[in-house]
Amino acid sequence: MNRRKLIKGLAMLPIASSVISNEKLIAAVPGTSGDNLRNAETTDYEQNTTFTSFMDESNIFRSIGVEPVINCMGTFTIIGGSLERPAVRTAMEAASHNFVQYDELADGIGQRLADLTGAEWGMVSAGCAAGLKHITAACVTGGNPEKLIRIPDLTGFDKTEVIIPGFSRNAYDHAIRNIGVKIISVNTPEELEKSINPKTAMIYIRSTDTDTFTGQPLSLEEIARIAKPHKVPVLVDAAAENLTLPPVHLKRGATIVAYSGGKAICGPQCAGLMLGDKSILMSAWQASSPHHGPGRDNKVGREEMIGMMAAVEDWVKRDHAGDWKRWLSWLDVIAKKLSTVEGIKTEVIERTLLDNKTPVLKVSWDSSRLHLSGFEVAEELGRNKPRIAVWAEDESNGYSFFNVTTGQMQAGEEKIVAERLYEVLSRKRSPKPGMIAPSANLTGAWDVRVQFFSSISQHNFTIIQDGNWISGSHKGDMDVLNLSGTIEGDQIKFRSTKRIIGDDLEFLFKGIIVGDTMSGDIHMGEYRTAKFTATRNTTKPVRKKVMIPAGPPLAT
Amino acid sequence: MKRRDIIKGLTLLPFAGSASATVLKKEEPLNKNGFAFLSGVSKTPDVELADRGRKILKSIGVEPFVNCKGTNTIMGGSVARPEVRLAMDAVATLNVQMDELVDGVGKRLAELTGAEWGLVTSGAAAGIKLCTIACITGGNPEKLIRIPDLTGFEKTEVIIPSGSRTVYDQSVRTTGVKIITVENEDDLKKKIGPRTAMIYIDAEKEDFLPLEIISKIAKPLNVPVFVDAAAHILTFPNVHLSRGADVVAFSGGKGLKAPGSCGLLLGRKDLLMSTWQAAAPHHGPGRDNKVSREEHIGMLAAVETWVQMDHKNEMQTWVNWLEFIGKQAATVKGVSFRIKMPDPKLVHHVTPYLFITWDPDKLHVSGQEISEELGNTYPRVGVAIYKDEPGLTGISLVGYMMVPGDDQLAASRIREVLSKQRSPRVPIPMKSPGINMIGRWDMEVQFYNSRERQELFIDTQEGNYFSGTYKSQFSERIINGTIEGDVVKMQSIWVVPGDRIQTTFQGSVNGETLSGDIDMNEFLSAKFSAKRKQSVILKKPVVFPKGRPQGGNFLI
Repeated sequence: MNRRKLIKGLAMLPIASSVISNEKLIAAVPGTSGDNLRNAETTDYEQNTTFTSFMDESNIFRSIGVEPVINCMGTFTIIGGSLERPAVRTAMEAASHNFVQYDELADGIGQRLADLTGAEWGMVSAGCAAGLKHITAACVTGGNPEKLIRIPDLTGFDKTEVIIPGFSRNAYDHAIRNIGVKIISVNTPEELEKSINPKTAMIYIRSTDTDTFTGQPLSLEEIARIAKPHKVPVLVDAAAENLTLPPVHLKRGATIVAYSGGKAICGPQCAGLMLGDKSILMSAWQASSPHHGPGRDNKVGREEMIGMMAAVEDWVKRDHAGDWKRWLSWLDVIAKKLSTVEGIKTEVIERTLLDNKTPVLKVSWDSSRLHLSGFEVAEELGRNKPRIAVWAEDESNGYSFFNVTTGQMQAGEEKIVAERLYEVLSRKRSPKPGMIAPSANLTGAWDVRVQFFSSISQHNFTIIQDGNWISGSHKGDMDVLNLSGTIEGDQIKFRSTKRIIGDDLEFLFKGIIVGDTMSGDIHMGEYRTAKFTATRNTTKPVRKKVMIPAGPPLAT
Repeated sequence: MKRRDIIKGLTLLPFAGSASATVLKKEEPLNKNGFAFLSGVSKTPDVELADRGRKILKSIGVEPFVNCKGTNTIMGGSVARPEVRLAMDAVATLNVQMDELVDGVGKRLAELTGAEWGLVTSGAAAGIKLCTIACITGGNPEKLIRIPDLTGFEKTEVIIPSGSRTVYDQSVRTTGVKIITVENEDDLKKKIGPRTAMIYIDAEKEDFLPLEIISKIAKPLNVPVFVDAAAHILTFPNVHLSRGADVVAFSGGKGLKAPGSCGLLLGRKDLLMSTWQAAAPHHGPGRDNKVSREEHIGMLAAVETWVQMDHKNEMQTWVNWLEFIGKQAATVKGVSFRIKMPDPKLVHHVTPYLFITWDPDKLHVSGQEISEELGNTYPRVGVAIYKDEPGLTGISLVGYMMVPGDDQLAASRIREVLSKQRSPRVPIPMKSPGINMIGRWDMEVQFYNSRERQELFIDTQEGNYFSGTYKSQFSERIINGTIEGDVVKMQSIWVVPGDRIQTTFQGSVNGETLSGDIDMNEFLSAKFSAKRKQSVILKKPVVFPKGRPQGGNFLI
């Protein structure tokens, strides 16, 4: 069935399910009338959350002491990404009752995703990152299981390198590194041309990097043009993007495009959608669970596979313009409510890029006038009931702002958000007190004992103090990190950071100093927490003069 | 709260609460009654939902089946319990911070199971990978972001007793560690050292080297012992932890009947905190092992249900189903049945078995043929082969993966297939071989997205049967086959520690060329073509030198 016919079919509501004769052999009923998902009673999306319903104490999360959040932040996985569309949940529930053979299921879904999206083939993975991993494995093995079972030991392999432009290096390329490939970074078309060699398994880019946009020197089109004669596949990571039909990146030259299920598409949270070249996607499926090998740890259930497919069907027939209008109307409710708060400015921003495409309300103010920073507002909204997650920043021009992002808000939540924002922003605040004089001078060397969750490490600080301000270095297990912070009274707070290509690390230390000992907690961002105790290193200098010879050594 | 109190609480039904806007974290969980309110309820009858599921699957040409075979992941593992599905659906519309959720779930799992802590992973294999990472990093993100490059790490080895080397140990290997295989107690004592990150054992292979002995050696050296008990049932307190394991892993998609793509880790809290740090949503090597909030809650609901449910009653239901099927089958003349109850001490694959047997010479059909027919015609029923020997053949069924209604379907289908009239078998003589296969063959294998040159050396042929050597890029292995007319079938199995590749060729001979399909079992398929190599005798005399070389020999 071609895509156009199929999509036409989707508009016909509802389709009677075709009768399947009793003794039919398997797979003799390919893609009958299509959309049986429709038979599910898809509840209307307007479920209308109210303050009472959101605060309901019998909420299943609250039964284990966990407080839910209203998501005005966007599709961040750490707060659960997106909420599944009702059709997705219904399809998953229905699929959870039957046993199927997974290869047969993957074939059926692959074909349907192809019909729906116009791509050659489709595959569902256990999240976008898992998909990146399987596709890298596919480009390394070519579908040969003898190679598959050796990963990540690539000794003797033909394909061992993946090229990534410097601007596309990010935390997600770890999924590629997990295969054991060497990452080759390039910055210009010439470097790319030169770096491609018989060992090149794949080129990876992230669609959101503006350097890959049409017209740029290393645009996707240009990368594809250079890669094509060498038959090197180009993988485009479009995790948080809206699905385009047929996928725009494939038209622009990508071999495969990867989407997250739990972001714009509102499919199952731990599913990913891979679209493109069938031969590579077949090898990627071979490298994926349930098949044993390096991808067995990326398990995807039949429910998620069907749920992802349902999300794509839902996407195809969804009224996107209607969604947009409704989102704008929610922002209108919030903006109106805040218009009476003195010193608060609001602005609706209608994002045009495919990535995180949703209207946003930018709420800004002069931080010194309201005695309030963006960070403080985000903390207050995020840590108290009813919890609201927003993205906040403090700008260098003295203004602070936060964004109310609509994509994952539920109908009715705009009222709760408007009330709560009004309450927090209209509160009168006094000017912040000045800094308290330091009770100690931290300048010098420190031996640091760090208690991680399940191990203890010895680190070192070298600190210089100027009044309340300190800076220096933090020597960890693997790196030397830059350290900076404050001391007020006996309270110390500092941060040490390290930017590594593809990864960012930040340790936030908070503690007190007593005599020559500092101790307290470390906040490691998404890597959670640790504890530290630092004692002053009182080692005296070694009293041994250094003799400089007058010429070359006479003995070695 | 004590485990005993929790379990008592589980029988209580809903709770009420009042909404108050207070600061988070200072509150105790609002109710300890668990998800008892979900118990045994489902809005839509299971049969109706299953029917809807069938329609969805059929719309993409996929045929589901009744599972009387077991918990193989390739067939979809288990069907999640209604309580699990309901709990998952209940949280599908709520956002939550994932670290907070996992802390809540971890604590509740501890209370329910008596283990120190619990963690949900994206399958048991992901649990193996993430816990291996935890043992390598100790919770230090500086190390985490470098995996699988372990250069400069202290812990770089994992010890596995050779009896425990399985396809699942690739989840250990993907972290970049070196696997040290040990044969016995002395060997373990010799090889354990400061580089040892962890010891991994497969709970079903542990009689090779008992857990108590391993634990006694590992404890004083602070080396964690990881027990992979994927297909085991829950025991309270957990039998493996009591016997000295630090962490034990379960699959959600087997006996537990939790979400199919989940796993459960129980054990030491410090290790499990480092494991969670290494897991998605946190960026790093485990970002590809994504678990959704629905799955965290679904697994918890599965454990709660497990704790409170009447297992004896469930076992009786399975026995009743199997008995019904057996009795129906036995209405066919010459067929008899027997139920086998599981050993009461058994902690994995706890299910009753049904053996349906007959004399193959009377019914003119073998257990293997019936199993093939049941598995590949509609309505499909998955069964195992009981025995295939002269005078006795049969099929074997298990009850624990069946869902209500399956007994009727399976019984009528099995009776129908067995009661078919079949004629005595007349042995068909093999066609005489079309060619002599002896010789060297240059083979080209077309994998999904790569080609490889391989070689075939057939050195002996006797009538229809031949043998030789099959040489690929990474292996040289024995190959056996038959030739009947121009049809060639050959098979080669390659077994290395932790992996097995079975390659089966089927093709036809055309003159001096041979081409056809390759089946690679779980690694799907490929194509091949081979040409007989015309061996040319190089008629060039070999000169044996009379002394040492006196210079370059390119002039000779």
